[in-house]
Amino acid sequence: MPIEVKNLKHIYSAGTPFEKVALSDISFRVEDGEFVGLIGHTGSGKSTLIQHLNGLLKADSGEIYVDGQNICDKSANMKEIRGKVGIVFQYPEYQLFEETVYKDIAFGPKNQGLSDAEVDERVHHVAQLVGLKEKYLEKSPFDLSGGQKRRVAIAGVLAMKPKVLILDEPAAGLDPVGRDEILRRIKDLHEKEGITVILVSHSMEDIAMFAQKIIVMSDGELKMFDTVENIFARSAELSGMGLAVPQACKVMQGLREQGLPVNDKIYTVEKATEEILRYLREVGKC
Amino acid sequence: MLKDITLGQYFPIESPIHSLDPRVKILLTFAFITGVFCVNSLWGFVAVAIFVLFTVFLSKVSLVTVIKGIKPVLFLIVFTALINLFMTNGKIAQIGGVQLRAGFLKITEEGIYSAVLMSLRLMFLVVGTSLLTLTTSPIHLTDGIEKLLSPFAKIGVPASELAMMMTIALRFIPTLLEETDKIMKAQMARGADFESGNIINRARSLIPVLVPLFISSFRRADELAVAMECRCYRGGKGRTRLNELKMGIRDLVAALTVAVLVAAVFVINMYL
Repeated sequence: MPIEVKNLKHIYSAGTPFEKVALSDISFRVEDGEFVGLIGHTGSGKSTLIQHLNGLLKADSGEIYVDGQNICDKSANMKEIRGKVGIVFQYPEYQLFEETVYKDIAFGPKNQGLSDAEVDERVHHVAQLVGLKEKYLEKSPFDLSGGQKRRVAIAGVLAMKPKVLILDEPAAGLDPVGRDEILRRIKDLHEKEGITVILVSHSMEDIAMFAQKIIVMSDGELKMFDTVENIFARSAELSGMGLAVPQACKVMQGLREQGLPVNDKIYTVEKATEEILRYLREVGKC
Repeated sequence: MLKDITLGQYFPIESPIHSLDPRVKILLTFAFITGVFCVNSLWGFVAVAIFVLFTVFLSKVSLVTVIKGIKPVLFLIVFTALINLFMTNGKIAQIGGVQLRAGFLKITEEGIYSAVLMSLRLMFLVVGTSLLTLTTSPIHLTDGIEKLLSPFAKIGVPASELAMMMTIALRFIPTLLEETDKIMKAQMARGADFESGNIINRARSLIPVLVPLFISSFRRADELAVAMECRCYRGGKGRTRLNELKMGIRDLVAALTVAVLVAAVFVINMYL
């Protein structure tokens, strides 16, 4: 289910002294089954952009097509669109409200009007997908740890069976183990369930590890939209926007600047290690 | 929808009205309110209208914004007008020789007159007071209130504690609005519907918003208390401030203008 955005524009508080152009002339197209990273400085318009993709914010001008349907249309069925495009907001654990984890996860599918049996099947399915043990389902979500709460919240969105999953900093504030776990689960989802994923993150390492393409935003504009490799090759431009390339990438680019004939189109630690070892073997020092 | 409320929304621009001393502004607002309550004829409201328009012009806040402030109390104004219209005794009003009465309901000429006066009075009260909050930042406002209350500290009025409570409450209004907006969006993304259905269903649909909102408010309050304790907050005693309030010539001019308005109202009341 492709998402296409054409000339999207959004202005906050139009006509007051607080007026601010949050998005200007954004156009891009995300294909079925892609894993896209969305990066940009704080206040660059990332969150505003993603809230347009399921109709939570209304565009001031421009069009958004989800599955060929223009969701800016007044006649568009918002419930259906929100079932197709799921958004996991930053710190989603703050939206939990039900007495039990089970009921909270069931909130979305119930709103979709599914039967109890279908809801039950989905809750158990997504609990397994995010790695929640059955015994947690009858607990109060407020008794869980931060990482567990976050999984419940993500499960709550997944339970609606979205075809596109948008995550805003899903790993923020988690410990390294929780972080890896969540990101790995998202990658699994993308691979096994074929869900299109848009991942908003400040961590270039995470983006480099998982994404296939990257959207770079700055000051409400879309500055770049390309493959990971091509984006990180433009490190000078990125740092001009207050962004950085992954550390591994920085090391390789630095080595190359020093005159070593290594490949600098590398952005994960594993690949960088391999490349440096290859070089050392080549010159016979290892 | 939540952002429609102007009352208590500061407009951060520079103007002669903005730079008045908050104490003066608060006292003058009270004088203005008293003045508006004393008005008993349409001519009096002409004077008030001139004063309000002049002040709005000086404050550089757009007239539309000021008028929007009436919206939340519109119901109250209409309700008061209707009560006055139907419940005032006097001569029954006529249109083209037809008496305006149906059953126990009747419209009197005095009723029409007092309905108009009452609606104008309420409107000007709201506009006048929202001008105070539109041109004074919450911090200045509480500074002003604290100073004005400080003489009463001797008889046990906890002025600085009250001021601190107000500062905190005001400080958290935008935060809570933002938070509500965020939670509503998150629940809407999960298919929640806040806009359709009857009143009971709508009230029920707010539970997924209110529960997280309460939890986060308690968390915030707790964090704030700890943060304040960490910085040794122990009440207002012996605290000095960064910016002392100073009155100037401007404030005198403002006070004189309001005095002229109040005097005008009294003169009009007596002679017109």
